[in-house]
Amino acid sequence: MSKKNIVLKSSNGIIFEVEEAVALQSETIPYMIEDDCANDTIPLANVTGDILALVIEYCKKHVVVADGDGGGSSSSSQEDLKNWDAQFMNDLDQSKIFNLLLAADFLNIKTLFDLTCQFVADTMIKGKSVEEVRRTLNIEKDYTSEEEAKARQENEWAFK
Amino acid sequence: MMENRKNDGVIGEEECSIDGDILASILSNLPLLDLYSACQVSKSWNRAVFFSLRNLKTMPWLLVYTQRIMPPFIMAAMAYDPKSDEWIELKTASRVKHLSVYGSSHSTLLYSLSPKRFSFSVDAFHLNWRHVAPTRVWRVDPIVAVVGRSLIVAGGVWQFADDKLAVELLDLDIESGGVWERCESMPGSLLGSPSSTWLSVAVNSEKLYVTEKRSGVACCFDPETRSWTELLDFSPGDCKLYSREIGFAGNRLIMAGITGDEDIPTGIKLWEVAVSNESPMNLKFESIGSMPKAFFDKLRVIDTDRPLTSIAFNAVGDMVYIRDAAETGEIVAAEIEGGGKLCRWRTLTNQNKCDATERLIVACSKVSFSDLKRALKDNLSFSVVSRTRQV
Repeated sequence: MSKKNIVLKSSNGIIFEVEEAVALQSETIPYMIEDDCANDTIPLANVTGDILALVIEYCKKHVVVADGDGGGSSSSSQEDLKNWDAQFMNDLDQSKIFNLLLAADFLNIKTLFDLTCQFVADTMIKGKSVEEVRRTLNIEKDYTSEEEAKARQENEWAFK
Repeated sequence: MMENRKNDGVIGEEECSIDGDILASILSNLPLLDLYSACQVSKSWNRAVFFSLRNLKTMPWLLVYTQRIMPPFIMAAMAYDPKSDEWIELKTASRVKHLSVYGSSHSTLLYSLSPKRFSFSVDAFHLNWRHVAPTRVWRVDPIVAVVGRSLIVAGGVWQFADDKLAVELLDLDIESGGVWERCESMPGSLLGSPSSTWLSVAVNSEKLYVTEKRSGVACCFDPETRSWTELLDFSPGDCKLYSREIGFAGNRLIMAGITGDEDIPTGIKLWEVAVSNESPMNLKFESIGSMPKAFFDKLRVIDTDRPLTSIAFNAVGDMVYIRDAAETGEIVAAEIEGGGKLCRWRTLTNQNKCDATERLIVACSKVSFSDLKRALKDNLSFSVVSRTRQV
């Protein structure tokens, strides 16, 4: 069977043409293909071009490995992939990470979604105080002073 | 899912707000302690934490207690959380009156014996102790097990007692008024080794398994019928073991054994022991993994000339923890993956060093979010002391 390409269009009109296997790591895209005419461009109204480029970069990397190991996944390629994932995430700034997370959710790419969730948990929340988390993630406190005092009393260590 | 609610704990700027299900997915990756602080970030985070609990995979913590062997039996506690790969120091703000020297039997239980009463605890952090009448037969080193609603004490009796294999059972459903009931004694084949030094136990909600560490002679007690099965043989056919330990990890009966002979131990292997209901005598041993050589060497690194007589083994949920029974330093841990095989081997250096005036008690607990909350209410405080390097 000849390789089929799929054309994706970002919210700001940037066109990406990718191999079907790359695009099909998204569980949302098959439905869009069914709904639309297969030869048409698939518009992704929720994903901007720069984020879609990242998603495709991720999917391309992972599709190659899925092909390469031929069923018996060698530990070295697994290890390489893990390192690649870590590097991929490390190179992104916070706003890109959140947009990537939303895109992975919308496109339903489970491994990318899990990777991004884990990264946000590990780097922005884990081991941080409540105040640090609020500052890092730009969250306004919505607890009243009394509510917070009560919570503080209950769990002093958590506010250190 | 992607509502744009400002100032309500929503991550990021307006155009990319993350809350609800996605936030819950992020939070379910956090270790319990961090999850607890996440509750205080904002109201919507508090809600998301609540939702994240559905997907939260809790992994059993290893609890390492050191206790002075003299009154007032002061105790220090450290816990290892495999999810965060951290050692956490547990401190009680309230003054605890320690009863006497504690013992551990199967993984989750601690107990304490005194002529006046018998005390035991099975909650996650061993904060709640239940006190009952002392057993009728005076015991020194018994097997103690909670099976469903029965407390069972077997063997380990005082040297001059008549029946060294005596078994007693207390129905825990009877509030404060239970009476110890003598049951069928352990099988006579265990007469040479009728105490917890020589026997390893495994407990699930229905049965108590006992095996002689050295020979593999085993039997099973059913608290319903108050009786023992015929003898079983916990020896996998293809492999000679000179010492073994058993434990239940979830519903799996797991056995860890040292291969080779005592002078030249060659490794540690683990099996899942399948007991069929139709023919309980017919055991199947399915190999689930071997401790990698590097970890085995590390376990013995302190003095490789000293014989490795036996291992201590804790299994709960998806985790197994193994250490040299005579040493307190290195602990080797592994996870049981979905298929039942062991993976993600790692070593943890025990942070709780123990000197001659102290003894080490190791337990293992499945810690849920509500266990953590309850412990905090009971004035237990948690401080992360070290992140062990994951190998």
